[in-house]
Amino acid sequence: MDVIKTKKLTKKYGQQLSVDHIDMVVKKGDIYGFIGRNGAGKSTTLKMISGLMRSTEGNIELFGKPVHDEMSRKRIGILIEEPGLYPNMNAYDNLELQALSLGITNKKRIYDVLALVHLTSAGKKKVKNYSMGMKQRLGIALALLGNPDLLILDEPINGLDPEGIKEIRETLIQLNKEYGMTIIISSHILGELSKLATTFGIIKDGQLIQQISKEELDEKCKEYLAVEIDNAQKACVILENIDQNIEYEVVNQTTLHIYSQLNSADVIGHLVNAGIAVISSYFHNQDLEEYFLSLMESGCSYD
Amino acid sequence: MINLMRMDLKRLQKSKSTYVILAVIVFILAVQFLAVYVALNPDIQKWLSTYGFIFQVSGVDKMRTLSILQFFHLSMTQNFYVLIIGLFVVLFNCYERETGFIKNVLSTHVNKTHYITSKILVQSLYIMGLILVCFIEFMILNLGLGFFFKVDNFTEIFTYLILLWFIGIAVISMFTALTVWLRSKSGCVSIAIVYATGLWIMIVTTILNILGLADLMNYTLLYQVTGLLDLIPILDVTSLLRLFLVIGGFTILYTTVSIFGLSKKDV
Repeated sequence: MDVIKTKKLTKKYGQQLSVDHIDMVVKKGDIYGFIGRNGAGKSTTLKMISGLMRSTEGNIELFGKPVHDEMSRKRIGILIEEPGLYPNMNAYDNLELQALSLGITNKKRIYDVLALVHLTSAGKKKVKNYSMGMKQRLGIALALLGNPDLLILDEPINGLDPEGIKEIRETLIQLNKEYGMTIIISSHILGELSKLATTFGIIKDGQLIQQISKEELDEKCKEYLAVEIDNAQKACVILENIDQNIEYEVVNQTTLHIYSQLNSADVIGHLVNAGIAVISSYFHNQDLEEYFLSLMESGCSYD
Repeated sequence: MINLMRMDLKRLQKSKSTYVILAVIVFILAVQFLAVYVALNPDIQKWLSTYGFIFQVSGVDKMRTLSILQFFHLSMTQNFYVLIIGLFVVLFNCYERETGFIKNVLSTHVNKTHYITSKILVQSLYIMGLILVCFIEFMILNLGLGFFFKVDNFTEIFTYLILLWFIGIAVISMFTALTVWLRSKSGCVSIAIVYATGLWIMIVTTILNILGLADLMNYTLLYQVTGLLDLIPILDVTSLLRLFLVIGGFTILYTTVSIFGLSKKDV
């Protein structure tokens, strides 16, 4: 089931396209990592999905219903940009206001979410005296209060210390695994996102240039031995003689990518002994950050 | 909508500004009450002059025919009532937007009518409380001064206070529309001050006179506020209907404008 489905979602400010015909699909149970540079259109997209911003064109479906459907919207929790908090109130009071607006009468729920984000000890301390990390955690608590089926988090780990980041990560994974909560999360900390997300959406200049699953990404980012030789065709025969099940890719006439875990010295030795000139060889290991940067720098779009 | 009202009421209860505004108004009115009492009472002036006080009083009601309702009307409605409402509505509405809490609310509440109506109703309840507190303050002070101002009959007082509150609801709707469209707290406060102090009246009246539409000024909310006391003794079905039409018309108009603005503008 598609929790979020956008079709040609567009936002224009005057003549400037902020979000450009995005077709996004977030499936039930996904942790969707939404990646893009500053100003790429992440927050605008998330605001439109949350119903906080009107789209110029296109449509959005939440749980198979239009974005303005009351019941669908009751099923979401958001933290977009800065957490929306009253600075002169404490954590409990902020949560109580949100609970009242959601029709939650059981006060236990407030204490539960406070415990979930480790803010029980904050007591009567006013939000204006909170650290940035505490505010972020309270913002997440507000989003979780209504026990949503879809959690929309825009830069939720901003300002958190490493311990805080780990706690939030574990909480989100727990919510996803135990309650089947679908989560869409944007972050600049790509290393952290790669530990969390099951699907990635990459946005550039308002266009969703790629949606890729964690498995597909791992495949693309798989470690390989790049070998530059003078004759790729002849080298292929040698490689298959070394191991019949060898996994490799002919990139061009002079470059091979070998994915199988082989001893690089042995491989190069075999190639040299067969009279193939090995010009260079190196191990390539790409993580999400490098993959993202390579996409940003490539300047091309991918479907 | 009930949930939104509960939230707004709780916020009203938890906000310091709720009590600060009320306390400031109560204090100002008390000072004003005592000042007028002194100005109208030659015995007190004589007594105070022995301590070095000098009085120069003009334009006061030497016949001492001023009733408590008239005095209340003079104190509250000479721009004060509309100004209080304006400042209160602007602070209440803009603060929610300023803190970003509005994002939490509007992401789960699709119906903008509920959101606006809840705000107007809750603020109306506050203004009702404020009117009552201020009037009770006047009554207590008057009682303490041995009924220096004559007390009007209950029906007149009740009718006046109810109608003043109804006009207040329309004024709340107007300032709500202003906060939805303008959003800027400082901008809204400036406009509220300009509106409440009536600085615009001279300009608009001149323009309407030129256009031969001077009577239109009789249908403004500010006119309803200032002219309310004169209406009470001669209140009949026609004048009441006319008043309700003006109040109802403006309330519906400004509420619609607010809902439309909230639906059309991004949060």
